[in-house]
Amino acid sequence: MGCGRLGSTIAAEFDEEGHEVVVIDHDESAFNWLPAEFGGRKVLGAGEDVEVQARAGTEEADIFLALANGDNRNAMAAQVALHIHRAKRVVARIFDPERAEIYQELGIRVVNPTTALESLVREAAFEG
Amino acid sequence: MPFDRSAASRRGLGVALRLAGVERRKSVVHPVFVVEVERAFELDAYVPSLAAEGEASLAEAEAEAKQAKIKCEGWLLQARDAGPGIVEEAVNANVDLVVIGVGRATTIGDRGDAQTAHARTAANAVDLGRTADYVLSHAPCEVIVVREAAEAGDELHTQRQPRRARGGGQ
Repeated sequence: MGCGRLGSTIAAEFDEEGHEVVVIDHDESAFNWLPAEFGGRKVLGAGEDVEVQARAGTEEADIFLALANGDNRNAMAAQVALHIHRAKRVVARIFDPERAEIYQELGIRVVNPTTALESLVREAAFEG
Repeated sequence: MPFDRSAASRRGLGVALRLAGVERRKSVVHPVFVVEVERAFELDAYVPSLAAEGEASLAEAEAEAKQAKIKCEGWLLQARDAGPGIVEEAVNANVDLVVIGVGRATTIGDRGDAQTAHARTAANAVDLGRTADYVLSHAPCEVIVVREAAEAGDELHTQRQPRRARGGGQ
């Protein structure tokens, strides 16, 4: 869910690796981020919507990635995938570290770009 | 966020206050107590005991928010059903987020009742409860569901009797 820079890159890579990929975005123009050779399915609609997720086949998904720009939106989409559709693994990008901690406690597997980037910067600064 | 002093709603309030704390200056938490009025009665019918229950619930939530230094304004609603009442108020007030605490969810397939909730397409779809289910499907904003393990005696404090409060969805 979320076909921006990150979402489209990951979708394209997974598709190239042979995974069955479905991309959800509420903005049709976002699909332009995908390469021409992308072989996955595109679903137009709000990724946090229960019915849209059903249309995308979330209940059969091994992995659901919530990679839109809004923290609360990603958290809601992750919850719907996790609790309603029971996707096997759900990951949400949460930008705000405090929100990331709260949502993690609610059972969502969270990736926090701020924390991740901090580690990389630290590594680049002090190691090697 | 719906608040009725049940364990589930208390947990929901805790999460709502923490989320509000992320942007403390801009955030206002609205605990909502909904009185579901049976159709046999006027929507604005008034029952003092229920008003007292609602006020006590909102007072508890407001005290909790005050302690957390979060701006808070409780809403006492009357509606035919809690879900539409909450959604209508969320629309009117243009809220950014609804946080709703629920007890342990049941699996629709386990109950042999596949038509009560959305997500009917999945055999193992989960029913979060009538109100949370409605709010998730109809709220104009994001909804965060705070689940907890079911506890004995964890019932809604709301009684289904008429009473007076501010208007809500029918």
